[in-house]
Amino acid sequence: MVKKLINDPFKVTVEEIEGFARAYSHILKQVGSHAVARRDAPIKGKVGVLCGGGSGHEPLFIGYVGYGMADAAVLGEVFAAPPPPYILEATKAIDGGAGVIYIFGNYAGDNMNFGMAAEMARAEGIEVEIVNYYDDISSAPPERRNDRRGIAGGMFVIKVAGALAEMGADLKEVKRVATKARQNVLSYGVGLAPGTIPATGQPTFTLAEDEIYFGIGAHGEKGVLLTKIKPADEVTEIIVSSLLNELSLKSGDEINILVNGCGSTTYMELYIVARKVFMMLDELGVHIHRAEVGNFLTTQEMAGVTVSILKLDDELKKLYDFPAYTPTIRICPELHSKFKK
Amino acid sequence: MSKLYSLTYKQVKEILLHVSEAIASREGYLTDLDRECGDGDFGVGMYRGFTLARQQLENYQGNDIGELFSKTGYAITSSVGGASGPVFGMLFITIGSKLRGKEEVTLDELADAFRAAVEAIIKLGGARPGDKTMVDALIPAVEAIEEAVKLKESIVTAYTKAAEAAKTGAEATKNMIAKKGKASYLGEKTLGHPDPGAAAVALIFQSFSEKLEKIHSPLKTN
Repeated sequence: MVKKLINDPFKVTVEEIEGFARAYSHILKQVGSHAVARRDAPIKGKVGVLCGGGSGHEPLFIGYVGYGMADAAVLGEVFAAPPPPYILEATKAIDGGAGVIYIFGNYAGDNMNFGMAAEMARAEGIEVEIVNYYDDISSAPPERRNDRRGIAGGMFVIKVAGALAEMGADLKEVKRVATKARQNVLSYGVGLAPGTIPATGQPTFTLAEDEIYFGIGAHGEKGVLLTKIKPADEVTEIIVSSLLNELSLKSGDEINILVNGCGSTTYMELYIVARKVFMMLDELGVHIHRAEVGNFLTTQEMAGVTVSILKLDDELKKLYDFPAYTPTIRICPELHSKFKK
Repeated sequence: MSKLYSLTYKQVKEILLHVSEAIASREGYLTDLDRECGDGDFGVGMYRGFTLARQQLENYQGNDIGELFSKTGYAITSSVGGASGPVFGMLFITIGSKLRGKEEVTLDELADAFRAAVEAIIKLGGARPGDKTMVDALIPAVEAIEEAVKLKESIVTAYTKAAEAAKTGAEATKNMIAKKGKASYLGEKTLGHPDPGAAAVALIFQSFSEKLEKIHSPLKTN
């Protein structure tokens, strides 16, 4: 048996959803076997925000369901897109009559299954819009942005869409801001060790003891730069320079950042990486409005970090700061305002 | 002997039931192949899809050959997920839409329908010959059927040849480096291992032709 805390490896998704939904039953509820939705869904007149993809990346997707973010999250089997019926079931569970937006990472399986589900939902009279995200700069050059893979930066897209939907905007508007966030977020990272697949125990890639791989994908997709382990500051310098190369930030610009752990990388390491990120951006005169540091998109026990930068304008900034209450993201401006000046 | 050149809906149902059973029963084999080239979940996905297909087929009491293929396809897309679900589902769904309303189907019509399926799959998934995917077994198989049509051969002969071609095509994927799907992340590591999707296509044609043979010559003992 694979040395993980699982039972039947082909029931991991079903079982984790049961445990998760119960743990956060004050926020969300199960929808069928492969999805969760906000407890109080559907909310009449509100655009439904649905995110999803393969399982194995927790807290990605299910951890973002709640107030001000996603209304539902649908999981497929490990690293595999969910089939349309699960997506459709969750769509109906959050359909308040104002349409539903699907937000997911740009991968072949996800594009196909969510595309099919959208057709099915439309055939039943539910308006559906789709925004897939493609923030991973390592996966394709800037001229082919929309061929890139979607990784941790997707969290920003879900948050921004969720906020505007919570404010009562219509589907067209929610799609507009989701698209804007998608266009304004870039990510890049490094892998130190692979995660392993629950069903087989096999690693998603192999590296020598002293090797690190920049740009390696969440499922082990080929990266950009294979090299030896270096001090965190050097590693971070490579990551942030690559992002700044494309993002063209200047002094006075405002951004949010996400320093994401891939699963087994310690928070200690993430904070050390974050320190260097701040140093580099401070030097540029770029203002960091909010930073999130932690595990947002993991790949089982993969060791590594990805850094995402969201370039802000007034609207994106406001939407990110809008209240949210989910298992993973909690933004409480009212509480924050209680801090004495 | 018109049976050689056309199939009734009863025969198509028997064939698709046999194909579904055959794939579902080779779960272990497909899993093993996918362990070398991917996440190791292809076998269980195909098992899910074709088991559901079998149920749908058994419950279908109508006489529309297109429906038989469509139900198989929808069972697959609705239960498999990932990239395999839509692509394998599309194979059957497209054939089904081409044969809608028919109670009997000729080899010509089957060839047309299978060719349409190839085109739909390529459009959906973007795979090209040599990318090391199911397309590398499917295209040779469909070409063999079209060849048989030109030579005015029987359905049994056509599908026997298609099964051979699919098998050869799947074998040939051993020497390709995957360019699509999860296998493409493993790059050169996939050399020497056949593509699981292509192997599944070979199994589909093999079981299709197996059952056709039995239907045509029920008294033959092999």
